[in-house]
Amino acid sequence: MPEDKDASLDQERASTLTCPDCHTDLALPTGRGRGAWRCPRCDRQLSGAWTLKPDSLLALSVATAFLWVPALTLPLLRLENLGLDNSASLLDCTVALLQGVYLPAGVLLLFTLLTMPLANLIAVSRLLWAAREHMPVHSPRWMQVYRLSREWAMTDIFLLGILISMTKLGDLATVKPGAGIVCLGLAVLLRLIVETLAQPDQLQRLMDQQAREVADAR
Amino acid sequence: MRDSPHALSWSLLVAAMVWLIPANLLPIMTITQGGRSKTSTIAEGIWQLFEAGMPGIAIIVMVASLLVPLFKVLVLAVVYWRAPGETDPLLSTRAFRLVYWIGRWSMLDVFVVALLAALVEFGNLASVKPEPGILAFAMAVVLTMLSAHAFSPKQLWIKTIPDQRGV
Repeated sequence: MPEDKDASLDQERASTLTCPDCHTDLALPTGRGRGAWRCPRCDRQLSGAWTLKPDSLLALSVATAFLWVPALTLPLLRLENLGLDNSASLLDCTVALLQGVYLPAGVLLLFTLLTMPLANLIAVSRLLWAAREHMPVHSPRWMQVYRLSREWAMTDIFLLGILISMTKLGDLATVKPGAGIVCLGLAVLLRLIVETLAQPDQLQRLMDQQAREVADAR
Repeated sequence: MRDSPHALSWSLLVAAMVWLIPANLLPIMTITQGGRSKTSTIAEGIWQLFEAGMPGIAIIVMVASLLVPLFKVLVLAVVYWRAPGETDPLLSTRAFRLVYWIGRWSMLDVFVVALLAALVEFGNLASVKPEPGILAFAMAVVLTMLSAHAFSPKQLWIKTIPDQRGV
């Protein structure tokens, strides 16, 4: 009898969810309705508008990884002024503030433009790989890193910064875009697609469901 | 405030408010062109973009660097203040989520200064140097983000949790 009780409790847990923000118990939607799933009480998004496909998203993450190194090291912009020219990569921008009194700002740039985007890429790839292979992820740190890095990886904002810098530099020198800006633009675009489609709550639920299926099969 | 469950959020927010003052008063960068140097604050930089005939870019920078940090600090202060006896948690939760995500866009000016400083290095002919205002601004943005991070919207719904409606 206790085993029956445990099984029905597990079943109930599998079909319900507690909203992380307002603690409302919600029944998981049956079927694949269109549009994002939101908590009816506090409007928190609990699921993206699309089905989570680990295979495709992992492929996009691998593509982002290939673009990442050239995006870091190749020149973003090239400047020409009275016969002199200069160029700067994303790495150069970080180093520019890593000296003297501006060291904290430089460290912040290092954190938001290099460390966090890289952490985001590694964490999401690890989680998607686990979801693809139906392997449980025992450490909750991967999901924590993924959630944190979505907020603190700021290469998308940096891209807008490049656009503004180009307009500011217009009367100072001739500005030419470098190969780095193309790689960075594509890497940011792919990252945004992966982040939009791989919502952390949705990904966590998928992995929990897979873990339950594996346990049931045993 | 000391006994408040979100004392950390308050402390970080107050620190951010303090840093916002030098961030807006001190120059953020010096542009040297043809031997002449010109330092500019955030507001002056925005005005220069308007004068240069780029109102679109000027408005983006004005929103990201001037309005968003102030708006975020004000909204967070109101949300934290109302949290213990919150009567309309949905409104506060929506406001909190909005400022939580737009706040990171304030880093825009820090990135622009870093890029210009790395790129424009032609000695007296043309150069861009960062100034202390940018450090204060970066501190203010990060402290505001950390403050929002230390607060959980769950705290706005505490009073209503026993009364779950379920769906």
